[in-house]
Amino acid sequence: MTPFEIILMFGGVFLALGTFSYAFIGETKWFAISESIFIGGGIAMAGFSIIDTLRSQLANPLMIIPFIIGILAYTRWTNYRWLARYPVSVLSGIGLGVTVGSTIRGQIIAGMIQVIQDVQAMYPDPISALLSLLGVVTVLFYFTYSEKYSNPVHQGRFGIIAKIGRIFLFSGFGYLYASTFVAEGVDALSTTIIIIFLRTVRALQGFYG
Amino acid sequence: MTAVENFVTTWLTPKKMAVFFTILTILYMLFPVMLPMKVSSWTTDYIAEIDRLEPGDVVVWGHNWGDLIPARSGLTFNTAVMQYLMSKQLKIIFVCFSPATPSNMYTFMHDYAKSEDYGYVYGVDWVVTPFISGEESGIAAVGDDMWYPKVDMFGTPLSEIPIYQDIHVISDAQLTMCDGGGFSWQPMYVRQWAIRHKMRMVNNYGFQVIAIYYGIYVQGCLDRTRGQAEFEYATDFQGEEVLRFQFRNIGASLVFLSVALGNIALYSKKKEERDTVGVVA
Repeated sequence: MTPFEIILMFGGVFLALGTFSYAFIGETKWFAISESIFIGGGIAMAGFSIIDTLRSQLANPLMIIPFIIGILAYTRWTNYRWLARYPVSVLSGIGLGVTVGSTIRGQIIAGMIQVIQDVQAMYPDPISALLSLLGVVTVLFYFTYSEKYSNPVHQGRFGIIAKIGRIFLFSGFGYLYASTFVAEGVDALSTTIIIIFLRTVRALQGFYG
Repeated sequence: MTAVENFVTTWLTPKKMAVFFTILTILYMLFPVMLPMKVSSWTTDYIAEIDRLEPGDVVVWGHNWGDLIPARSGLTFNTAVMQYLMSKQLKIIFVCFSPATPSNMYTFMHDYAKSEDYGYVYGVDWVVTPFISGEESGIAAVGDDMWYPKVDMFGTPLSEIPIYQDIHVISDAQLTMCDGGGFSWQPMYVRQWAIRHKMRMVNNYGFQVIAIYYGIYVQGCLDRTRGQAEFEYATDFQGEEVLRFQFRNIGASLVFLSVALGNIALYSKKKEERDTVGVVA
């Protein structure tokens, strides 16, 4: 690293400590400056990237259509705000169209086929295969929302089906929550220490040989 | 009241515990005790999937690194993956779905992955697309037509970029790789590349794709909770993720320790209340 990069690095550390200071000493000018620089820098960087993209992509005449649709989103600030419904409708429609087919194929049909194949082959072991089948079937039953058809599996003699489905469902949620907590919550401290302390120490070690 | 109860209830406050834990973790970061690790099958699958490729094969790496991500986490892990790909002489196309991604990827390749050290030449061995908007519709468009962006991140037409000459649809590449950036991004890559085009795919980030797609559409996965550290460990890369993983174990141990101390405090408080009630009676 050059001396200038070392100075920049310490500037970064100063600003990073400023943002983290909010948790300990509340809103100060140090925090406000750090936050503003981060947001302003991010917006400026995104702005340049978008201008670059527009420059390279607008050479295609067909791009005028999405450009017009995008511009319509800003009519919300005018008296013609009803025009802003069109970009929302187009986005929702395209989003659904692009997503639904692959989702049904990938998440529902392929998953069911896989479970059936696993049960046939008893893969990876008989207990796991049967547990997967039990989980898929009971969770599907749990998600029957019709009063007429769902009551038999939610209440009475067969109410146990929905209860088992709920156990599988909440086991999944528990795993997701735990993973998210570990990844985001516990890592927040380690990331802070790595970025602010460890990388600085290592960079200085490299600088001074 | 025993000495332990006395210590927990009178001396040990939450603030003192926080300071103690912070000092402990900083000390561990600076002077780590590297414990042996077990490498899971998801990680070995991931490595095997890369090892399966021949030199010169093309990997399409979908990225949506935002402004902060490269500086925050996964920097050394991504360097480890990139250097592993380069050691296998694979060609890489970075497809960028966030405005800041193209410049991030270029900086990453030069400053961290050290592509020049591996003899990698931009345009011949690796290339970065410009920002492609539209999230999932953008991913779908690139899957159908790899020349959809028309130019690379510098505005050079794709017809002048050697790596692109044999790549027209995504199935012309040999492997796709998807990164994280949130809960929704990874299933998007799986839906639009792996499912629609029957592409082999490995995932660099997370558990979101494991339960639904693993084994069917995703052939290797580095779960962020431990997979990224396992990759560094398995490929003998001296990165930060192994350190972070061990740090996480310490964090989890401290959580258990706190629970135990809390239980002792609760027990002694209840005992004290019971004794007081007895005296009054």
